[in-house]
Amino acid sequence: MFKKCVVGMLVIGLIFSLGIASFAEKTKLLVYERLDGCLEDTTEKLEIAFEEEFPDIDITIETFVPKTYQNEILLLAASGKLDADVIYSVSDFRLNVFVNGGIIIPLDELLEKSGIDISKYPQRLFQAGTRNGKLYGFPQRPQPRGTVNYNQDLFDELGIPYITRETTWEEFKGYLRKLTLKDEDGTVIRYGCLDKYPQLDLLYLFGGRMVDDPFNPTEVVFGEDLVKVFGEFLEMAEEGLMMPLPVYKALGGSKPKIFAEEKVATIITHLGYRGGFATASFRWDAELIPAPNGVFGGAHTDLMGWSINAKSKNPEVAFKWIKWSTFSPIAQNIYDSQWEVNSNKMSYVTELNETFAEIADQRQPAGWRCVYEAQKNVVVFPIFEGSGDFMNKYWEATWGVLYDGNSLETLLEAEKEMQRLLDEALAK
Amino acid sequence: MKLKLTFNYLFLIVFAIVALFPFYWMFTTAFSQHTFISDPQIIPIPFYSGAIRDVVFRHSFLRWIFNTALITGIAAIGNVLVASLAAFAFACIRFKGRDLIFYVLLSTMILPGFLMIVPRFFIMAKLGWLDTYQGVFVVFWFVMFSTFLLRQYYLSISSDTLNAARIDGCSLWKMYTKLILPMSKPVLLTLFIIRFVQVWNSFLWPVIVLRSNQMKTLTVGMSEFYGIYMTEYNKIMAGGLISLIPIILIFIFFAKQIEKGLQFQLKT
Amino acid sequence: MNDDGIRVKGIGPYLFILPMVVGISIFGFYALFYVFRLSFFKSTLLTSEYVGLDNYFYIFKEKWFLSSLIHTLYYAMWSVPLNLLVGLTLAFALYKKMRFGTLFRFIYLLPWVSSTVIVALIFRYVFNPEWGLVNWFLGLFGIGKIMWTQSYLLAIPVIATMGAWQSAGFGMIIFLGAINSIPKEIFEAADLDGCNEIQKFYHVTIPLLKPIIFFYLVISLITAFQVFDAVYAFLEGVPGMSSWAIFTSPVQICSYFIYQVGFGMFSFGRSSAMGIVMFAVVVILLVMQKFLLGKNYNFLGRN
Repeated sequence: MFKKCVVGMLVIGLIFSLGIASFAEKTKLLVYERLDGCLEDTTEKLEIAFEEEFPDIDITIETFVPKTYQNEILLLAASGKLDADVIYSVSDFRLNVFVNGGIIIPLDELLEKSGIDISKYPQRLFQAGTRNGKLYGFPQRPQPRGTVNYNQDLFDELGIPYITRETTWEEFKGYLRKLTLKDEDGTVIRYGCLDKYPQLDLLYLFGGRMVDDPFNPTEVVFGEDLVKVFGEFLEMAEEGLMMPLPVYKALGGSKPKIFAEEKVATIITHLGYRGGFATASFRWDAELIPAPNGVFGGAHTDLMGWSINAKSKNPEVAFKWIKWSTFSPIAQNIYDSQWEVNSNKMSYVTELNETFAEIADQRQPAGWRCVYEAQKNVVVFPIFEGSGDFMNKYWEATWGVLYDGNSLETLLEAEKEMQRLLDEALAK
Repeated sequence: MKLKLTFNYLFLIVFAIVALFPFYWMFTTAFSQHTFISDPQIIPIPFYSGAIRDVVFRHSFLRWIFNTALITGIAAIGNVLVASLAAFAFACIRFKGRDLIFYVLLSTMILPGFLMIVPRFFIMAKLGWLDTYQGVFVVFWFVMFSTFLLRQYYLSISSDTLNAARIDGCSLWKMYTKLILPMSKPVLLTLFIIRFVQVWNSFLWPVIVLRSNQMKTLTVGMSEFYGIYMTEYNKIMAGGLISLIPIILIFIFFAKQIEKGLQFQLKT
Repeated sequence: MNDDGIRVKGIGPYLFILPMVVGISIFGFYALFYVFRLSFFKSTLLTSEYVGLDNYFYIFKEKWFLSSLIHTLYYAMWSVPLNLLVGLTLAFALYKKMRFGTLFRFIYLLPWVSSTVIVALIFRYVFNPEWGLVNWFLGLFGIGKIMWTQSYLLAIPVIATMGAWQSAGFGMIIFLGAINSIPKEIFEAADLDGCNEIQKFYHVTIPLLKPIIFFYLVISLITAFQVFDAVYAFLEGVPGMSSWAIFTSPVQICSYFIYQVGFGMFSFGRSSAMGIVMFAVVVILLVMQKFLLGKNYNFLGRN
């Protein structure tokens, strides 16, 4: 309450002093943000800090309910009432909708003018926001998937060294063997790790390989290596090191929950979960770890950052917000402080961090157009990238799910088959 | 007879426990540190008031309560009035096309609300009513549910009474205000309560229309607690409990009238 | 009072229905027609393209929507009678003056007042196959663990029960009002005629309640086709889920598909077409319902 009063007084004071001090017209900037939790003091702090650095800009940040954010933006745009200068945008097919609908502008020129050197960052992050060769979405908060969240207290107890970026996959598997706890019957009490996307196990079973185009595959990308990765995961599941999906669901289907309850020692997921893991009573941390072929060490950018409204009157000013919110340490601190996380736990960092570049960049195959092709005429899209019939492709594309041609029937069958196989693995 | 009575009570008590246990659980979760649903704590230890504190102070919770109360009140009252006007005509007056119009209007209830959100949103955008109170409550005024219910009740009013009133020189409007309204006050109150609760808990429409933090209603504001990565169940339960309070207050306040309403008898 | 109302001259009655008609025309009909029109397009709201009946063909080709209609019908089949049963039972148990009557009536209203999602989460806990109360209770009788959420055949009745639990209070209020609005004279007349309790119940009370029962059935059926958030909150723990996960869900509710295809995937033309198909199904069901219930559903008539 006290904090709120102080902030309130600061705001009033600032407005008052600014109002008296300058009769000059200030540029107004409206930002639509999408934040988990939408805590109001966070946006207030951001506004104040931004206006301190740019006193001639009057910024307003509005946070939307995350669940319906995209719908809201779409409806506002469709009725011509999208007034914001900057909108938070997501790099999946919805970006296509916005681009094709002409409501956001390319950022390449503004990027050049701003003098940011993006060559040192993982290019894929920028590719994710690129459509028709132009950058439409600037990655402020990309989410590397392949972050291992690990229970530090448990590691201490078992004498396992903490996970670092130098940890190799073999070493990691070794740790998992120590971390997995079984009782006399061989039932697993605590799994070494969880990966929520074991559909890839099934892919491996079907002898999957990755190609560049689902319908006219010409190039095999990381074919054997990919199979090796999936093989790794399957072996881990067979050894009981990795929690199978049915068990995960039976235990409540919540990553923070099973982590806090120490049903798993590590969880491979993306960085965004740090808020959820904060409920664990033990010390934990998170690190990117390269999977054998790095498929999981790569950055999957399904959340992104900023786009600029085509109707904005001040695109350059809008870009100042983009730059500030992404690179300014002050901004990052404010975003961090949103979560009541204990010390020693990971905080909300910008993933455009140079050190991520080393690992993140090497791994994931280029672009989003990766497709896995299995032997039995079953094709898998990990993600899709659209041009033209993207709606159809979205139906057909999910993270590592099998389907046959255009029919969702087969998708359903494939999922059931996967479930059955996993049930078998569990029953053993 | 006594056996039947005790059996009756037993049944009611069991049902009441079943009905109340979830609320007890909501209460304990709201005061726990859990941000996920796990085994319910029967005794709220450790007692953690952080969720409640967060909900009330780090968000504009009190403002949300005000917004919700305002919107819901106006929506419910307006709907009851408009509906009773129409229901009176549909039930008690013979006019050309009455049944056809009634059933056609009724069909508008069938299409799910979220499909109609898109066109309604465009209407509100054109009117400039986005992110306003009226953008929300006006839609709730025109719902056939209330007309339907009131019509079923008004059907029992005999024409003789109305014709007698006419002979006395009553116009339709006088009939409505002097006869129907007073007579059906209890039902209207019941309907008001029903609509109040329905609008209070509504989510799909307000979340699309209302944007700024200052304008959000309770359901909208609380949906922020459903994050992408982490769902703060303790806050959700805390918010749920707090949003129950105004409704419970209304129930208590109107308890007497509700009781009377459930006892009302139509004049024959 | 089997009459049809009074006769009046002039536009009086039309003025009475005017506000409702105008309002519904704007927010109901216009919306309905807009959706209908949209179903012939392929639209993301920002761009659209006329495709004629393609969306409808797509629905019938991709059988999952049709199977979801079946799931939803199965749900309605459980939900409507359950709701009616619970509402009537409570109303009949509580209409007399009794000690704590008000308290009980108040308690049963509570579930109806809370958010459907919260109720769903609570039920999810209670019906958890591993540590839920229900399975524990059944275990006491030696019944093995029942996997409530694995197949739609089991899951849907559970969800319907959840719905009935929540709308218990709602039904109770409505039927209490109806029961207590039956004039005492009718009961006195029946007593004079020598009817006992059961006869009074069947031949007097129920017929007189028919209009309200009809109302309640119609409302229940319409609502049964519109549930979705609660269903997935129960199954998955979070209200709503990402579009791809729905195919592994044992329960496929058609309104959820409509929502996902529209707001999840921005395929509004298809979503509208699905909505129209669902609309047609519900209309047919309602007509059937009216037919089954017989003609005398409109009046509170004396015998």
